[in-house]
Amino acid sequence: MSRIKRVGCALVLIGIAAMMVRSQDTAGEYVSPSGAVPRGKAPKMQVQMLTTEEPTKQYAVIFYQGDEAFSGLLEFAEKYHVTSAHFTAIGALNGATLAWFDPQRKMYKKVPITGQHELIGMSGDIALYQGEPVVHAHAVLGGPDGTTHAGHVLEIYASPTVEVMVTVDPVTMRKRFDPATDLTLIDPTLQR
Amino acid sequence: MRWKQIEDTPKTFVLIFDTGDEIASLLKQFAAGQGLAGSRFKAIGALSYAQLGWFNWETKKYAPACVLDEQVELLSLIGDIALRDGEPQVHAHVVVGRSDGAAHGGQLLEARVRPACELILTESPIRLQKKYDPKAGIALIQV
Repeated sequence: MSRIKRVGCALVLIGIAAMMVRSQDTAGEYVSPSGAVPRGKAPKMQVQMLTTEEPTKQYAVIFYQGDEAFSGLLEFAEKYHVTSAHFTAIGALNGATLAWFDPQRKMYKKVPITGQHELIGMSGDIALYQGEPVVHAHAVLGGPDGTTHAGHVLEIYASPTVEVMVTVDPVTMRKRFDPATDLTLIDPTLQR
Repeated sequence: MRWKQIEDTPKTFVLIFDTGDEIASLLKQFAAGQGLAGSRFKAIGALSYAQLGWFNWETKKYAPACVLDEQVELLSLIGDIALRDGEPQVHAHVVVGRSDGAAHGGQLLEARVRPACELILTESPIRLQKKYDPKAGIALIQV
């Protein structure tokens, strides 16, 4: 009888330990939509303006080996005073963090990607929230056998290059906070 | 493949590919014919055959990722054109969808159209140049 109790007790302890480990893992796997984006992670980024006098400006924003392209795009937006833009990109990467929005938790579940992948396609936009640019991007990545992973972009480490073609509009597009999702959403009617 | 210029500023083309057309080679011919030097494009359509590549960082070569000898949706084709040694070089990536919705993707190596593919291309007045990058082992856009 006491042996059964001991075994039972041990099983409960193992169960609690497993739950603790799992809850720690889960806590690390989710990030807030309003998480801060670091700076200075794309030191090799180069920018070329592709238009001359047109009000709608086109830029090539090119990242090289080791540059983190998502935060780099935000730095580009800040430096060039972008108030409304959209972009597409292709390239290749070594390591990335994609994410999936969990509407129950109102948080992004991280999808870590390791190793060399094609950046098959990334598209996104840039709009202002409280006067500061916010980059929103989605990507499809391809592995060595052509299988794909896709999601909301948190980090993309260029290897050897990521080529982003950006169209910057001569207007201001603004975002507002949406309490239902905790996300900032583009609201074309927002004047300030 | 049929094409038409639909706008002057920015210079914009529509390219319509028909059954049997191979996108990669026709796009390269078009780029050379028009003297394209700083373009971006996107396309959707459907294919009867696709060969996708994956850049192998160790060998610095594009390895064939997969061959799909079947009818697939061309879900997305995104790319750019820049000059390498004076010649336009087309760089394009594709995502294709199989009959069960599963996606495959990679560098565009070969794509045979069935029944159609619609491509929009914008050419900028400024040229983009590629230079060989010894670390990467391939030519990269330098600005």
